[in-house]
Amino acid sequence: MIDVLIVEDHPVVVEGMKKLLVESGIAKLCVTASNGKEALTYLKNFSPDIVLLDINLPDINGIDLCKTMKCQYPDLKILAISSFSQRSYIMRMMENGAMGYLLKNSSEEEILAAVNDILAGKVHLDGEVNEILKQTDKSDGAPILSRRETEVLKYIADGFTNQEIGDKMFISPLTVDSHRKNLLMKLNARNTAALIKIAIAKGFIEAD
Amino acid sequence: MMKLNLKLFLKCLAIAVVLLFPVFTSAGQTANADSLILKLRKSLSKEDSIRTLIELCYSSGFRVISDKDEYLENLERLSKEEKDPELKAEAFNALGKGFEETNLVKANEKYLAALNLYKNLGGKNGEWGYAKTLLKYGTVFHYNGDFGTAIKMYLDAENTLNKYNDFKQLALLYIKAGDAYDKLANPEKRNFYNQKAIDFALKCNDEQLLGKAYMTKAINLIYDEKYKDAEFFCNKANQIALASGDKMQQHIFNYNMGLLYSRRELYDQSLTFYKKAFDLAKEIKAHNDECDALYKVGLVQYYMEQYSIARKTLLKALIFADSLKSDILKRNIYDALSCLEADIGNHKKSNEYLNKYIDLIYQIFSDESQKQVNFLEAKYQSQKREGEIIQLQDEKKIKDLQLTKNRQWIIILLSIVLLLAVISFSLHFNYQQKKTIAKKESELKEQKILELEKDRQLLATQSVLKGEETERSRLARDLHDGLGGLLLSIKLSLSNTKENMTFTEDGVDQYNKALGLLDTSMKELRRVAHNMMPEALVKFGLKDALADFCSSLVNNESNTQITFQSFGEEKRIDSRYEIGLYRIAQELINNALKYSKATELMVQLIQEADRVHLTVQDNGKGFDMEILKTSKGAGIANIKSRVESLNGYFDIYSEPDKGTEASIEFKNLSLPENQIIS
Repeated sequence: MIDVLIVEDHPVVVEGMKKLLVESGIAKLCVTASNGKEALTYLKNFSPDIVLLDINLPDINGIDLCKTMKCQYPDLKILAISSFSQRSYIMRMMENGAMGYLLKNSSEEEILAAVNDILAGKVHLDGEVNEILKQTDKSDGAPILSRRETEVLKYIADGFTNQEIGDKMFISPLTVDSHRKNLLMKLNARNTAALIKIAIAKGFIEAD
Repeated sequence: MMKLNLKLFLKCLAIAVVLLFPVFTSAGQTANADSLILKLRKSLSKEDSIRTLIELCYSSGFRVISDKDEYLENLERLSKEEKDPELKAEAFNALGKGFEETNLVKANEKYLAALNLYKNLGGKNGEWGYAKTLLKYGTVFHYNGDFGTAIKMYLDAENTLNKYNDFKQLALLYIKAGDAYDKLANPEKRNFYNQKAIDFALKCNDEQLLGKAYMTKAINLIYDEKYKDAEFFCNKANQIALASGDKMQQHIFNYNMGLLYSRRELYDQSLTFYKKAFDLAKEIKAHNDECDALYKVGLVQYYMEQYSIARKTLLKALIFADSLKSDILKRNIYDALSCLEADIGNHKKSNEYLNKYIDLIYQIFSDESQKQVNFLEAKYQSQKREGEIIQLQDEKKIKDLQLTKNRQWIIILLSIVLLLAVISFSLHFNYQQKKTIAKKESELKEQKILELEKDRQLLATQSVLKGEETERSRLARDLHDGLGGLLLSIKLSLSNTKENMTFTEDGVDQYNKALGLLDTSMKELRRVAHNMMPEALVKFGLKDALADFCSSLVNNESNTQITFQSFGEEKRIDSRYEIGLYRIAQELINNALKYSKATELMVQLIQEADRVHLTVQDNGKGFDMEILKTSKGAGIANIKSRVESLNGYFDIYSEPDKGTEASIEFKNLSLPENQIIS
């Protein structure tokens, strides 16, 4: 039997959670805080086995609150419960020390499974969350050059000036300069010479 | 022995240069001492007796009066009680003059007191008096061999005397200055001041002064070894002296003639003149001159190799000089004695005298004084030149006035005509310029109006967009929190009631289906709310929001693979840029998914300190760029107006079957504060 702190401002959700946890026989005591300040006050005299934390709170956002709690009580186990399914929320919540992330529309079984996993010291991400995190992992690859960028890169390698490249591509020299800057940044080059060297090494252009 | 003699010989030459020590008397008109003494015997008012005593001090016969100390004491006492500062200062001056030859310290004291009084007095009388006193006081330094200080005082006085056209004092001053420069071995300056002295003496028509000036000239000629000319000027001066009965001048004549003949090595004649000079000085009780003449007598006797007589004379002169506290005379006498003792082989004694001589030289003639003189001279010359320029200008003005009175009219008329021409020209020019300025101004104004109009439009677009966003934001929150919360509670309630209810098998299916639909509605609600205003955009910024958006489209209907890449800084920028770029990306991506049939879609965000760049590229079917010119797709137009409202740059490039590439860039990233447009 465990003690639980629920930080959530929506009374219906609070009631549902409370009922679920108590009736399932997991929780002995369910304390609820409807905002961040209240939650931090409770934690001074009360050490819950797990904290169920909402992101959308009236005074402070759950992500920041999670960080604050973890800083003050490093052993605290936190399960984020949110209706946000965006990757950025999930990532930040996990970065700030949450051990699990549940969407609010999760089934009772999922909620109980998450609580049990976390009490056992395991990280829990439910099916949908897991899916979201996996999907975006592939974007962290090598830079992809757009067609225009590749074109500009070739002209730069051929030694043309911004003005000349602009004339050839029917764009303004300022736009060429923007592309040039973008290329430097994307290929992490300090100057044009380095840019060409890297571009050849990575196969974006062919060496003569 | 040879060496010593050579040294001594050189030294003797050196003496010759500083040897001469002429004496100056006051330039004031000299009244007869006897008549003044008679006047003093009468009962006089206090003021009258002071004035008479002052006159007595300057009188020609004052030196020979036996009880002159008594008169001086009397004047000193009376002057102490005197209230009128001018009279008091005059008395002090007279006392300075009176003590000059007998008590240098006291003379010094009196002159300083007089200077102070004049300084405090101020005004013309104060200034003038101060200058005259300076001239007299300078003479004291002159007598004592401190020529630097003496010159400084003379030059200080000169400006003021020039100011009040006091030619007499100036003539006197120039004689003294010339002599001082002579002592400092500066013949150029000496001659310069000599000439000035003669000029000014002739200007004020003062025989006595002229005589002195001639005499000074004669002395200089002696040093220049022009003995014939020298004798001529000497005699000229002597004629004046004899005519006026001025014993002092006569003494100087004899002294200089002595010098002249001694230089010509005609010692017999020289001795006669010097002896005469000595007698005359004694007669008028000019002790310094008396002593000097005695020294000269001794010197000539030495030259004539009458050693014992010479020594006797010189020692007598030395005692005399000591009593007069005259360093310069002592120095000269020691020098002569040293040479004399050396010549008769008394080297010990010679050395003794030599040391004393050197000590005195150091005392009198430090390098400092020479430096000071040069500095002062420079200062003086510049001041003087300024004064001369002003004077010349004044003179020229007067001449011009007289000579060119007629021509002036022509010049005036001509200048009036010229002036009129200039004025009319400048008026015309001014008018033209004003016209061009006005034209330029109106152009500028028009341009400004255009700019303002554009700004206003931009602001209008911005505020419309902002209003839109605000409304969306509110709606999204309401949907998410209100409706979403309600749906969630319905779901929770239903879940709870499930256990308390009994269902048929069909009923359970139906029930579960309803719950599933409820889930789907909640998801859809979140999607709609999120699209309306992504919370991530407000909370975490553009990169996260775009990443979220792209990842939310992973399982899209057209099966396009979406890649999001970001480079550079992740700093938050103005929310108007963030929202704008997010909306544009949304629009471009949605369009691409809807129409392009692309298999790949690339979204990239590049952010630098002052620049943010978004590129959306697909590999779809593309379109002919010409279409853009004719039919304006609503989507592109929306993007354009959004970009323009934020002063950005938008470029879209497409080719059939080769896909489309759109890029948006914002620079500087500073927007004016959003204003409410009524």
